[in-house]
This record gives sequence, structure tokens and C-alpha cells, in this order.
Amino acid sequence: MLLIPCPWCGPRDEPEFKFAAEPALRPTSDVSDAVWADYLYLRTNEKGFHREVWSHAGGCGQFFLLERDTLTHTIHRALKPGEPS
Amino acid sequence: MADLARTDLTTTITAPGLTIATTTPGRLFLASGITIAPNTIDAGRHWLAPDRVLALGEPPPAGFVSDVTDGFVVLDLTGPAWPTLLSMASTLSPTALAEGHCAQTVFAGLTLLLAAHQGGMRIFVERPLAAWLLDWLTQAATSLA
Amino acid sequence: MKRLPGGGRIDRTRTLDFTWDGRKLSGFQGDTLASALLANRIRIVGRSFKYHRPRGLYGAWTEEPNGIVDLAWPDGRHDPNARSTLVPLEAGMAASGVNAWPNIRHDALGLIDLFHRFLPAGFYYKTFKSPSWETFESRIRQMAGLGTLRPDADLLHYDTRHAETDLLVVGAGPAGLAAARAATSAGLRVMLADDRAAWGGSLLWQPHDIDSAPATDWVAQTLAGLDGATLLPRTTVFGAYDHNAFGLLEQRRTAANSWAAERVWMVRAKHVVLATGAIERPLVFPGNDRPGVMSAAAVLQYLREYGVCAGHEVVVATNNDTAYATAVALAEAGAIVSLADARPDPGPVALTAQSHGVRVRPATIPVATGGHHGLRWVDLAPRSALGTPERVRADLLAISGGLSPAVHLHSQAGGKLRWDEPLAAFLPDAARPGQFFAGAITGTPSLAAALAQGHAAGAAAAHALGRTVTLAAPRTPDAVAPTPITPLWFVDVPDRRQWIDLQNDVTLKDVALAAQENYASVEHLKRYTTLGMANDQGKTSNVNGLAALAAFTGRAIADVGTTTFRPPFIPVSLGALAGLRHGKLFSPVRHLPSHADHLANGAVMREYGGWLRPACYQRIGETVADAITREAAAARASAGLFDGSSLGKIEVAGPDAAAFLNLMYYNEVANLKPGRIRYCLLLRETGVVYDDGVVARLAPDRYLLSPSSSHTAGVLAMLRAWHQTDFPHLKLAFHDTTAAWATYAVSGPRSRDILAKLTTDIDLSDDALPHMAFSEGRIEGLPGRIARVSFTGERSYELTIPAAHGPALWRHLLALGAADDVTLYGIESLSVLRAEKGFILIGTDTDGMTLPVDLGVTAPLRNKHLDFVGKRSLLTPDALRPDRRHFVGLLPEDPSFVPAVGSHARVDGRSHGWITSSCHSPALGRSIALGMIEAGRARLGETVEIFHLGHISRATLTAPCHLDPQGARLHG
Repeated sequence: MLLIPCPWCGPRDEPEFKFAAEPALRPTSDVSDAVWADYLYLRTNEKGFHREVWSHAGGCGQFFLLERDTLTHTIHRALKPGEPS
Repeated sequence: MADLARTDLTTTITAPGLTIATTTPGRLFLASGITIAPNTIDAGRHWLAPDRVLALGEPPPAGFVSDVTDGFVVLDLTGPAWPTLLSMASTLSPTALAEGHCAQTVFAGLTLLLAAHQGGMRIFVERPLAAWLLDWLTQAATSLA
Repeated sequence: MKRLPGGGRIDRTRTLDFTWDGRKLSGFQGDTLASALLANRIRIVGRSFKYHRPRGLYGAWTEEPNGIVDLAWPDGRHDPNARSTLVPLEAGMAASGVNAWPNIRHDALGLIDLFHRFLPAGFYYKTFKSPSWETFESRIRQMAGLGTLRPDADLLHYDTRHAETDLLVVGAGPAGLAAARAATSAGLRVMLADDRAAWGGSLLWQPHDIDSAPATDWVAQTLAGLDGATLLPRTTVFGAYDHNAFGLLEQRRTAANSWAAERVWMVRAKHVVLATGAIERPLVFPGNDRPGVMSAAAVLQYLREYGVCAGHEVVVATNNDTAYATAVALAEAGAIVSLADARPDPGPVALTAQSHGVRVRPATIPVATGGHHGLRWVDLAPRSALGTPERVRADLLAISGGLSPAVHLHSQAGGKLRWDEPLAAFLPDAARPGQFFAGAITGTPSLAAALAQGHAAGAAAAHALGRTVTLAAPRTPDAVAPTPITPLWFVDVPDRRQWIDLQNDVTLKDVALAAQENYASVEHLKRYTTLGMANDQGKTSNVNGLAALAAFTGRAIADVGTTTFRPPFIPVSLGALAGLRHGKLFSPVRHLPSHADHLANGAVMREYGGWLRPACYQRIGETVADAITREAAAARASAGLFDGSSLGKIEVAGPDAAAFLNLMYYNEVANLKPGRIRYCLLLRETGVVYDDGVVARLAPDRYLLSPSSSHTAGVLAMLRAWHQTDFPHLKLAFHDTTAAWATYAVSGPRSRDILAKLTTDIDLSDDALPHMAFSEGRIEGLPGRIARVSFTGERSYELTIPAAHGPALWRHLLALGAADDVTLYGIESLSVLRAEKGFILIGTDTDGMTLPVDLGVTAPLRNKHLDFVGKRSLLTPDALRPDRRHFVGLLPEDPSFVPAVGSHARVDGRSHGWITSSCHSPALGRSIALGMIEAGRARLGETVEIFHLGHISRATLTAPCHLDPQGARLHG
């Protein structure tokens, strides 16, 4: 039961949040099928430090970037979209 | 012209140290393009998102405004036991509802807006979920008796 | 075995009558069911899980593996798996043994034990295979398991609390109390939990001095001084979760005026002190499962807590110092006690024991037991000469193989363990963030160390929060240093029927078998033998099991390690976890504004996508199917009235609203004129159709989206996600106004006549309000909208007004339409009407693979040159395959046969697709269907086989629209 720091609402319990995605730059429409498939389906699935997009679906509804260690669940920081990382 | 009168839910639930009552505090508007401090209440405007508030009372004069008065049922919880009821429904701490503050959170399985109000707590629940929430609150009040 | 005339902490003035296997017995207030059974000389409390061997009580608290009984309370409550050592005795209880026939004393199934050679670990992989496992499975399942569930509803109430605290102290023994004392003195908010009703833990059963006063006084004073602390007796901390979140189970059944019998707390603690103590391990030797073989620590508890002496001629067998306290206590209670210590030189404890009349045999271990239906003798042998045992008469064998620190919560939180060779114990390795240890969990046996560690832990938590503890640590006289333990994991004799897991009937033989079959990992050992998987979760078996595995595989115990610890520490009932959220309160459900009117009109309400909606309005004397047919027919013959208030209403506004929505939708929306409505698809980035709905343009910079009822939240989240993460520079905002409006559809040839009777300033002429257009204005004086949108294929008007006025408008429309034969219709008949028109239902006719091309909606892909979500996916080879499944209609050969949804369309023995919707069509007077068929659009007119569970019929492929393909009825 992670304690996740929403950048606006502060630390709240995990059930208030929804994992959204790994951050990925949306390719332009002229990429090959293979590149597009990677974007749709492949995940880096890092062991350790991981960046991921969550939404505070059971709260303010905002989307933000979370830096979380997938092994220890240590949460480093949460960043608003556009905040320099 | 037909008189299409309103149908509103009105009810009161009591338990030792707690009263839950429906209230009609005024008109309600969703307004975007307005920024106030997160999770605060400023002149009737309740923070919902970085650029959106739920305005109670008068509609903001400009910007994208939607009248959602009929979209909510508002409940006021008063009495010293309201933090206990909150602790049954939510992981939110009562300190998050200090005077002048509000919070959107999961309450009894519903995502809704809670607000500090006159030493107690106010719930804004969307109208379709109000009947179910009142069933839950009735059961919760029974458990406190 | 007997109840002593004095001693214990029970109330001998309050007698409680109960029954055991039909016999009337009695005990005292303060007894558990187990202690009352022992006091009544009940030796056999159950039959073992696999071999049906007679079993007696082994332990006294949560570690107990055998004492699982069927228990009924006088108030009607029933538990088929009650743990007798944990259940407080109450008057009128009826308890009985389980897993035996006809009863546990004379269990016919005990014959199974004679065949134990055919039932080793994993026997179901090797035996009972011919002709097939299924032949034997049902009979074996009938015999398996402990106890029988009654089908009655649970009578108990449960509730929930969420809390935050500075410090959670788990365990109120000396270490935990010292920690709580230190922390509260520095002003911390403390929660102190102990699973017993009484405070003090190990201090309850041994006399000690703390701060120059009896320990019991110190406990009382400490508790009284815990300012502001939340005290939780009878509360087990059953789970440790991320970031110092904890699950607690509080037993409230015997608390005064408690509505809830059990309460689950979810606590977020800044810090936690784990003062959970240690659990005694058994010794492993042949015959160690006989009733009368008990944990030495438990025997001491039965004596000191309940005043029950578990035996008269007692052998205590041990390899460490802790059992000596039991030996001395038994001798003081008048038992004849001899003690076998595996160690050659037990040290000072032996002298103390001998001075109390205990005969001590060093370097001696038990090698066999005997006695029918209970212990009668024990064979003791020198450790160096196992072949020359001495037979000792005994009715109680109290054993101790060492202490295993209760590290569960630390491990659940991801903490690592290290094997300490001299202590022969797994200890917590490094503490997790915000975690402290104190007491026996650290491997320390002494009270002085426990008090010091507890105090230090409380002070450390205070310091971490910027406070200082000025109070001095509690003091107790130093004890003599203990003599080290000698590990004795099992007896090395050919007879390997030495029990390791009593509850799952796993023996040393099974561990050896697992090792022999190369299940060398401790995780494999667990699953292959089921060691540690019963509801005691291996509290008395895990370490002995892995130590045996280490011996059989030639490894050090540290290299074998432990299995992963998972919550809960004790079984937690599902009811307790549910709290209030059960029955009607299990899942939130939305009501329509006109909910009460629907009920009054005889609606059969069903849940659709989280909303309670009328399936149909069933009249007296008609079946649901009749109602559906009647409603659908009426909607096409005269007029129907439908409650569409659950449809989403998301307002989107801003200078970039058009550009953004064009990015989101498959269809072109930027060129939609104000006042007009367009049916649009929303795709996922994979190109799959996620939602369909209508988009209305209110103004150049303002739209109203109507997603389907069950997808409103999902669509809003999708829009917000794209806006915030990918297109934050676009200026627009979203308001979900779904709940603020009621929407009713008047549909059918007479709909125009009904609307004409409304008082409205909206021009209802077809010129002003054509199909797929809307107007805003006043309806009976209220602000609202009227739109011409149709899901039935008939001329239709959707009226939208503020939700509070919905019920009144609903009744008004019914009254207005009475002269025009208006009929209420529900979801089920709407589904028939749209099926006749070939309109899709997302999630019914489409699935997680359906692309727009499959539905025949191809214009946007050809004509919309701007980018949109999912576009690139529509150009992949898979999306362009000519043999993709297409949405088509099917007409069964037999017009009275309605094929089941999911039936396959079979051609040349192969499935070419399936039926997605089917019904009887009132308009056509015959059955119709819709489905997804390979290259279907190119095969209209072809006949296919319809195959379902062996039944075969035939149908012809057609266009999806079965009625009025030109759409004339929209304007009728």
C-alpha cells in the first residue's frame, strides 16, 4: 500500500491512484510498423529506478510523473507534467 | 405551462456525537480557468484541479462555467464524531479538512469532494450516487450507536 | 492433566458450561476453549489432515496446529475452523472435532494411516492415476479438508478504521511497553497493539522485578502513564505493507456494547517497533505427534494463565534453557518431572531445576513415544547411543527445540533475514526504513535486554521526529547468561516418520523425498510437501523443515533460507476485510433521477455499467420476454418513452477544443457546425474502438460529448491524459456534467405529436430541428435542450433538463403521451430495436480487437488527413488484412430459432467468426442476429452453419441493418 505524493494534494494512499503508463514520446505517424509496435507494446520494465505516469484518479484527477524504485518501492519524487526532471 | 417541481433528496441521519443532514447551500458551478491554492476553499470556490474549481453561490463572471447545481447532493456532518466517521470511510486524515480546506478523495469507495465546514465536514456527492452513499452512511451511523 | 485448585488468571467464581462432541463440560471465565478442554482431560481434539491420526493440543496461542474445531455459539454464530487456543470460552458454546467419522475418538478413516506409504508428499502426482485422477478426485475431495461450512449467512457485523500515527508498537510485552513508554514521554502519538486481552506478554507468566517492583505493577503503571496513546488489546497486527502501512485485526466480540465483532484497522505509521517476541520450535523425533506431546512454553502458559497442569508424570525434552522454567513450574505444581537435555552440560539452569526436584538427564534426547489415544511412555536415549533407550512412563512430554523470532512483519515489508548459528535462529538483518526491533525478536532471551532495547527503540523513533526522551530506561536485575542451544533438527534413525508440520501432516520422510527428487529450493519444498501451507502457516514447522532440507542436501541453513513471508499472520475472515462493504453496500451503484418512478411503474431494474436501469417494465401476467416484445413493438407502432439520463455529458470548451477533439476522435469533428450532432468513434492508440457516442457542437469553442454510460469516466480520463501528458499546450478544459442533467427520449411515429404538446420556445419543425441537430431553450420554463438523435431508427427527440426536475418531466411526458399510446421501454427492448437497425453495442458486438474497418466505418481513415489517436495503427499489415472479421447481419434459416450469442459461424469445419447479438424481432416477426464474420461484407447472401455446444443450424449472411435501411422511419 504505497504512499504516493501527489504534486498537488500531497501524500495519499495507493488506492486513490491509477498507474497510467511508462512515459514515452509519441512517434510521428511516418515511423515503421516495428517502431510503432514498440511504442504500443514494449515496456522498459526497469529493475530499480523507474519513471512512470500515474493519475490521482481517486482525487484531483491530475496526471504526474512518479520516480519509483521497482525493487524497494522507495519513491523518490513526483513531478508535474512539464516540470524539469 | 406545467409546473415541473424539483425532486430533492432530504434526510437526516444521527448517531451519538454525529448528525448527517442534506443541505442546499446554493447553486454550484464548475469553472475552469480559475487558479487557487490546491485543496483550499476561497470565497466559496473549492479547488478541484490546477485550473478548475467548484464554485458555490454565484457563478464566476467569466471563463468556462457550467451550472451543475442539480448534479450534487450536499451533506453536512456535524458533531465531535465526524472524524471517526471519516476514519471509517477514508484514509484521509481529519487534519486535511482544517478550516478553509477541501480534498477530493475515496470515501466509502466513491471518489468525491470533502470540505471543511463550520468545524465539521461537508460532502459533495454526485446525485446518482447519493442514495447508495446514504445507505452506507446509515449503516456507518448504526455501527457508531 | 487437571485444573489446579488455585493459580492462573481465570475467574473461578464464574463457571461457564459448554459441550464438546455432545458431552457437557464446564470451564471458567478467562479460559480459552483449549484450556477448558485440557482442564477436562480431553486428550484428543482432532484428527490429522491426511492420515487421520489422533491429535491433542500442542500449543496455547496462535502457534497451535492441531486444535481446530467446529464451534457454534448460542447466538447462532458458527465457525467450522475455530482455533480453540484463541477462542475465549463462552457459556453455551457447542464444540466438536472435525475431519473424522463418526467422531474423533473412533475415526474409521484412521485406517488411512495404515496406507501411509502410498500417500507421501505429492502422492496425487504419482498414484490414483488409472484410469484417471478425476475418477478418484471427488471422493478424495470429500474426505479432504477440515470442517464443514454451514450455508447460513454470517450474523456478525464488522467495521473498519483508518488511522495515522507517529509510532506503532507491535507487542505489549516488556520490550513493547518500554518502547511505548519512552515514546509517549516525548510526546509522540503512539498506538500499542497486543493480540492478548491482558497486557504484559511474557511478564504474565514469570515473576520478575522491574524498577524494584513486581512486573505486574510495572505493567499497570506503564499503561496508565501512556498519555494519549491508542491502546488496542486483542488486536493482531496481521500484515505489514509498503511505506509502514499495517493491517490490524481487533477482536471486539467481548467488548462492551460493540456493534462490530471484529474491526480491521489500516494504520500508516511513521515508525514501527516490532516487539513481537519469538515462537517456540518443537523437537523432531519419532512419535512426536502423539497426543500428550506439547510445547514446553505452552505448558507453562496453561499453568500460569489458566491454572491447568497438563500432566502428572512429565518428561521435559529440550536443547536449550527456556524449557527449564516449565519443568520447575510443573514441579512446583506437584507433577513428577524429569528433564532430558540434548546438551552434555546444561549449566546453572539444571542445578536450579534439580533443587526443585526435577531429575535432569544431560546429553539425552527422546527417540520414541507410545500409548494408544494418548501418551503413556517416552523412550529416552543418550545422544551418542541412540540404540539403547530407557523407557520412562509419562502422560506429558513437554518439548522445546529453541525459539524462532517472530520476524513475519519485518519480512512481509521486504526485510531480509540472517541465520545466526550460535543462537540457531533467523534474525532480522538490517531494519527497513522507519522500523525498530526490541525484545525476543532480536534473539535476546533476557528481560534486561528486552527493556533496554524497547526503551532505545522508542527513543530512536522520538529522535527521528525531532524529540528527546529524558525518561530513564526501566531496570531489572541481570540474569545469569544462558547456556547456548545445541541444534537438534531431527533424530538420525531409520524411522523417518517424525512430524515436521503437524497441521498438514508433513514428515521428515517427505522432506527427504523432496530432496531426493531435487526439489532443493525451500520454495519448492514448501509447495511439493505443503509444509508451512496450512492455516498455522508453518509457525512451528518452517525452520525445522528447512533445517532438515539443509541436512539432506548438504547445505548450510543460511544457504537454504526461508520462504517468502506474506500477510496475514493469522487467518483474517473475509467479512472483517469487507467491513461495511457487503451485500447492497459491496459496490456503489448509480440511480437515475427518475428511479422511484421506474419502480412505481413496475420496472425490472438491472445494473448496466454501474447504473441501475429499467431492463423492462413488466406488467402483471406477462413474462420479461413478453414485456420486451411489447415495448419494442409499441416504440415502432406509436411512441416509446425511454430514460437516457445515464448517458455521459462532458462539456469541452476552449480555443483549442476543436483541434484537440479532432486529435481524439476517429471522425472529423472540427467541421461540425454549431447546432449539429455527429456519431463518432473514439479509438485507443492501438486502433481498437473504445467508445461510440455522439458529439454535439454548441459553439465554435464549445462541444458536448455523450460517451456511453459505462465509459463516461474512462473517456474523461482518456481526454485528460492526452491533454495533460501529450498536448498540454492546447487550451481547453473538460467539465463532466453527466449528473446535472436528466435526459428522456421520446421515440416513434407519434413522437412529433407528443412533443407538440410541450410548452417550449424551441422550434420543433424539421427545418429548424432536423435529424442529428439540437436546439437550446426553455422546456416548460426550464433551461434545456432538445436533440434529434435516434438509437431506435424511429423519429426521436431527446429532451434534457436539470436533473432535479427530471422526475416531474418524466411524469409530464407520460401524461402528454397518453393519448398517443406512449409506452415506457427499457434497455432490453432498446437492444432489440437497435439490433433490428444493425447499430453496434460497444463491448457486445465489438471486443478488444475490433477496428473501425471491421465495422465498415472507413471514411475517416480515407478522408481525415490530420493525425488522431490510433491512426497509425489502422495502417499496419494486420489492420489492412482482407480476411479481417466484419460486422454483418445473420438471418437464421428457422425464423423461430434465436441462436445463442457466441455461437460460431462454421464453414468447412472451421469457425469463421461468431454471433455477437441475437433476438426475436417484433418488427420482422422472426429471429435476427448480428455477428463478426471473416471478410463478411464480401459474403452477403452466403449460408453458414451456426454451431453451439454441438447443436447445428443454418443462417444467411446479410447487411447488419434488417429494417428500413434507407432510414425513412427517422423522418416519419
